[in-house]
Amino acid sequence: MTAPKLDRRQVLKLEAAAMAALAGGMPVAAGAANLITERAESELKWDKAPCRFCGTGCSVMVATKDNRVVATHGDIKSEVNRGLNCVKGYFLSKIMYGHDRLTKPMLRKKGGTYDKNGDLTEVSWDEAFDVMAEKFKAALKKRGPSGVGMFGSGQWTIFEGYAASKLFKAGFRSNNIDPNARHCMASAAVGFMRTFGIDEPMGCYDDIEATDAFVLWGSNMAEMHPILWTRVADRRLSAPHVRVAALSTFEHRSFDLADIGLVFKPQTDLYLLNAIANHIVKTGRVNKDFVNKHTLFKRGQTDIGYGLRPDHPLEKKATGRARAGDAQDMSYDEYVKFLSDYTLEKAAEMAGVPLNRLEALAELYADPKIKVTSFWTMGFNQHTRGVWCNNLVYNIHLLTGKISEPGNSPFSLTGQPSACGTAREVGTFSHRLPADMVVTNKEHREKAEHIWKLPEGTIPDKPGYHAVQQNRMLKDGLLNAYWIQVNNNLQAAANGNEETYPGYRNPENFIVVSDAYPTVTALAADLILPAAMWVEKEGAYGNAERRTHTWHQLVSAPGEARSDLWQLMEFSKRFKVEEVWPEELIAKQPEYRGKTLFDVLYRNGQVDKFPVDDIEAGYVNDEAKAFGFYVQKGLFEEYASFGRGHGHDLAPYDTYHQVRGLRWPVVNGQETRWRFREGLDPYVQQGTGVQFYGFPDGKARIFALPYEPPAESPDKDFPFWLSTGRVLEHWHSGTMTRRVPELYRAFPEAVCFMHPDDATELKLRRGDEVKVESRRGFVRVRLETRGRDRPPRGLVFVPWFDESKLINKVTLDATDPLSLQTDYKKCAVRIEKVTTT
Amino acid sequence: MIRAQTAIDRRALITGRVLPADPVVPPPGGEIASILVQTRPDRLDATEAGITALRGCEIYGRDEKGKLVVVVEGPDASSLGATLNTISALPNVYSASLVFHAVDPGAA
Amino acid sequence: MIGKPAMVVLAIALVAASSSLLAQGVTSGLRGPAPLNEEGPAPPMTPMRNTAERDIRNYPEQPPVIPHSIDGYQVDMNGNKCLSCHARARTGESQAPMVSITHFMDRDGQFLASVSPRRYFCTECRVPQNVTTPPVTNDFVDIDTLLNRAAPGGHR
Repeated sequence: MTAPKLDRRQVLKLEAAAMAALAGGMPVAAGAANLITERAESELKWDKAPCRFCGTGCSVMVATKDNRVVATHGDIKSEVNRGLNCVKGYFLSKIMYGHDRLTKPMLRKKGGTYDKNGDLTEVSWDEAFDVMAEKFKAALKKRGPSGVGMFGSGQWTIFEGYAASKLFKAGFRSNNIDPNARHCMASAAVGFMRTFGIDEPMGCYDDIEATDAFVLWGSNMAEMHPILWTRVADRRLSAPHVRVAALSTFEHRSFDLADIGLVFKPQTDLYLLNAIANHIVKTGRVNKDFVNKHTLFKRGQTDIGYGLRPDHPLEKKATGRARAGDAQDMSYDEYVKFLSDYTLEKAAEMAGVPLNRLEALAELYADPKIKVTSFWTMGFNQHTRGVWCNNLVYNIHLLTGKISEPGNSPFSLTGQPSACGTAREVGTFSHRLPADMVVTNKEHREKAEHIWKLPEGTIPDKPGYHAVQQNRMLKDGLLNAYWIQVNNNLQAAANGNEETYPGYRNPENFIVVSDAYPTVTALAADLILPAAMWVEKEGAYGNAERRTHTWHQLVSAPGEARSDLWQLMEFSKRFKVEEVWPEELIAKQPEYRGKTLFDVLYRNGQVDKFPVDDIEAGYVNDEAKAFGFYVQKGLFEEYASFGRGHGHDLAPYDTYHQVRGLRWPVVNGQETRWRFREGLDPYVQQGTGVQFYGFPDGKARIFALPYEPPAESPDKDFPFWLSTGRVLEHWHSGTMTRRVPELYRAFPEAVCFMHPDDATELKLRRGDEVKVESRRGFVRVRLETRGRDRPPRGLVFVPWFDESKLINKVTLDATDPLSLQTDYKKCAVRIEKVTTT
Repeated sequence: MIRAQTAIDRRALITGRVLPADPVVPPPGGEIASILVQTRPDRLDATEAGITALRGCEIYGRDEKGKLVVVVEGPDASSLGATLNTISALPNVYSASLVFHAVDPGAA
Repeated sequence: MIGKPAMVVLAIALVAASSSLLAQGVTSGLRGPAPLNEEGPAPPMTPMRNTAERDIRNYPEQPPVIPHSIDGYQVDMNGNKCLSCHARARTGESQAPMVSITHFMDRDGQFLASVSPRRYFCTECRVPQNVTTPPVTNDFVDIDTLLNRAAPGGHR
C-alpha cells in the first residue's frame, strides 16, 4: 500500500516543481546551468501604483526591469483590494505596450505646411507647439477667451488637472475647460452640492463590511466595480442576514447575487424613490429627531427641460428651464402632502415591477434595525433627471437618519480613477475652482487669485462651455482652438455624427488631441501629441472614497511621448502675458509684464519651490528633469493649500508615497472614514452629534421633486429603448483594454443584447447582423440573445467600448439641465436585420 | 453525502468558516503545492535557508536570478496557504506565486 | 527556444510599422477601414475557444484564461457551475485544475476550509477566449525574454 502511494507522491512533487519552473521560465535542474549573470542586472524592482482603470482605486504592485513593466499583481497591503485585482487589473502590465503607441507629434500637412485636409505627418515638438500656439493666439484674437477650450479627464493626474485648470482659467482667462467626468458623475457632484453643500461621499468602502443591506440603483457593480463587488459578495455570502437589492432597466450580472431584483421601466426610478420615501412616512418610520435637527425641506423647480439646443421644441416648451436649479422652502407637512401621490402600488404599476418586491425593498430602508448602503453609478448619473435621483436617494437616507455612520451610507461610485481626485476636488469643471469653490462666487475667485498670486479679476466670473456645449460651439464655429487630453470624446459623446464630428472637422477649428494611442478622436484631430501614460510619469489619483494615492515614475515613455503635464507646462512658455491679458489687468501687477504664462503660473515661487533633490532616491522624474524643479510636489502643495483648514485637508505630499492612500480630510495625520458625525469627523463641532457643515446652517436638504418623462421614448417608428454601458473586460472606450490580447479575445466586439422573444418576433436569430438606428444615426452589430445581459422586452443594450461600432452616433445628446451630464441610458431606436453587405 | 457538502453550493461555501474541513480529510502530508519565489539575487542563499526551515518545504529549483521553486507538503489547504503567506512575508522576497496545487488521492 | 525567433520577427515588424506610418498617416486597426463618419459592417460572431489546453502565462501573477466555453454556466446565489469541476473534491473525477488555495484566504488573510466568498464570482478575474486575432498586437515582453536580451546565449 505504501510503495505506490510514495511513488505517486514523488510524481506529484516533480510535477509541481516542473509547473513552477515552467511558470518562472527556469530549468528544473537549475543547479546544472553554469550561468553567470550580473546580479544587479536581473533584479526586479517592485513598486506600488493605483490601477489605471476605474474609480475603485485598487492598488497594484508593479515589477519593472530594464525600463519596462514586466509584471503586476494586486497589492496585499491595500485596504481597497487586499491583494485582489479584476481581470483588467491583472493585465495592467500590457496596457502600455500596444503595438501602435504614438511616439511622435503628428500634424495634418499638405505640401510641407499645416492643412486641415492634409495627412497626419510626423513633426517635431517645436513645430507642433509653434503651429498650435499660432492657432490658439489667432482664436484668442478673433473671439477672446471664449474662442479657446479644453476637454480634459477624470484620468488626468491631480497635477495635470490642476496645471490645466490654471492654464485655462488664469492663463487664457477662459473657463471653457471641462473634464470627461461631465459624462460620468457630474450629476452626483451637483447632487452632493445641492443636498449637502459639499461634494463627495460621507462614507467609505468600510461601509461594505458593516452594512446589512445593499441597494444598487442603476449600478452593475459586478462588472463595473469588480473588486468592490468581491467585497459585497463576501459580505452577503458570509453573513446570511445581509440582503442585496439590484435595480436596473435590464438584468445583468449583479442580479446573480440579488435577493431582490427589480427591472423597472426607464425613468420610473423617480417614482420608486418617492414611493419609498412615502412608505417611510406612512408607516411612521421617519427618524423625527434626526430630521428636525439636521434637515430642511425644499421644493425644487420643475419642468426644467432636457439640456438640448435652445431651439429644440422640448426646450421651448419647458417653463422652468431658466430657473432649473431653484428651490423654495417648504414644511415637513407640505413635503408629506407632496409624497402622498407616490404610493407603492402606483409606483409598482408605473415601473412595471412586482409590488411585493418593491415593498421588500422599501422595508430595507424603513426598518430602523437594518443598516443600508445604497450604491449608484451611471443609471442615476446619466439621466436627464440625474441630480434629482441623487437628491431623492439622499431624502430616504436622511428621513431615516441612515447616514454618516458605518454601514448606513448613500454612496455614489465613480467610473474613472480620478473623477473625484482631479475632476471634482481640483475643480476642472467649467464652473468650478479647487476645494468645491465656484467661478461665479467673487470670494472664491479672489481666494484662488490670491493663492495663485494673480491680479484681482483674472478669473472670469461666468461658467465656461461644458462638455456638450463645447461640441455644439465647435460645430457652430464659435470655439476655434481646442485641446483634448486623456479622453476619447468622438467615441464617448452622444449624437457624435451630428454634434461631435462636424465640430472637429469644421474648417474654422484647430483640434489638438494628446493620447497614447490612435483613438478615433486622435484620428479626427489636426494635431496629435503623443502622451506618456500611467507609470511612465509620476502621478496622483483620488478614488470614490476620498482616497488620494500617488505613484512614482517607474519607466520612461516610448519615443518622444511626453506626459500631459509636460505638454501643458511647456506649451505655456509660448505665451507672453501681453498676448493673453488685457492691459488693465497687467497694470494691477506690472511685475508680470514681459513674462510668459509659464513664469506666472508655474515659476511663481510656489510650484517651483521644491528642488529636484526632494525626489525619493532611485526614481526618475522626466518633468522635474525638464523644468529643473520637483513639479509634482510643487503643484500638489500649492493645490493642497486651497483645502487645508476647509474640510478638504490633504497630507504633506511625501506622505502619499509611503502609504496606500489616505482619505481626506486628513487632519493631524489621521484620515477621515465617515464625515459629518461627531467622533468620526474632526470638523464636526462637539455636542452637535451630526453636522452637515457644507452649509453654514449645518443642515442637509430634503427635496420634493416629481416624476417627469424622459426626453425621448419609443414610438411606432423607433419602438425600442436603447441603453448603453460597459462590460467587465473593457474599460470605457477600450483604448487600453482592447490592446491587451487576452481582454480583446474575451469580448472582441460590441453586440446588441435583446430579449429572445423580441428577436423571434422580428424574425431575428442570435448572430444576425442588425442595424441599430435612431433619428440621429446607426451602427451595425451582431445580435446577442444570451449571455450576461438579459434585457426585458422592448429594450436593447449595446456597450460602447468598440470603436468599430460607434454606438454614440445613435444616442441622444439630452442632458440633465442641472448637472449638464448626458443621458446615455435612454433613447428610441429601431432594430432591422442587415440583408446586404 | 459527501457531494452534498463539497464546495459546489453556496450553503457549503457560507458555512465554510465553521465546518471543520472538507469532507475529504486527508492524513498529514496529503496536499502538495509548488510556489515560485522571486527574491533578491544577492539574498538567494538566505531566502533558501529561510524557506527550507519551514515545515514541509523543499527546494526543487534555484536560479541565480533570484528564483526558487518550492514544493510544499501539508495536511490541508490552509496549512499550505499559511506557508505561502509566511514565504511572502520573508525578508527580501518580492513575490511568492502559487503555481500548482493538488491533493494526493492516494492519501484519501 | 521560442523566444529568440519571435523577437527577430518583432523587430522586423517594428521597422515595417514605423515606415508605413510615415507613408500612410495614422490608422487604427481597432477602428477598421470605415471612415469616422460612416459605419462599416459587423463581422460574424466568433466561436469560443473550447479546449482543455492551458496557455502559458506571461508572468506568474497573471490569471490564467479559461480555455473552454462557459456558455450557459450558472454562477449565482443558487450555485457555481465552475466549482462543480474545479472544486478540490471534484478535480479527481473532472481532471480540471483545482481552484488555487490562494482563493481560500479571506480579506483578513485567514485561510478558510473552502473557497472564500470574495472569490465566489469566478468571472471577475477569469475570462474565456474567442477564437479571433486581435487587430493590434501587444509588445509586452516577459521577464525571461528581457533577461535573455540582457544576457544573450542565456540558458533558454
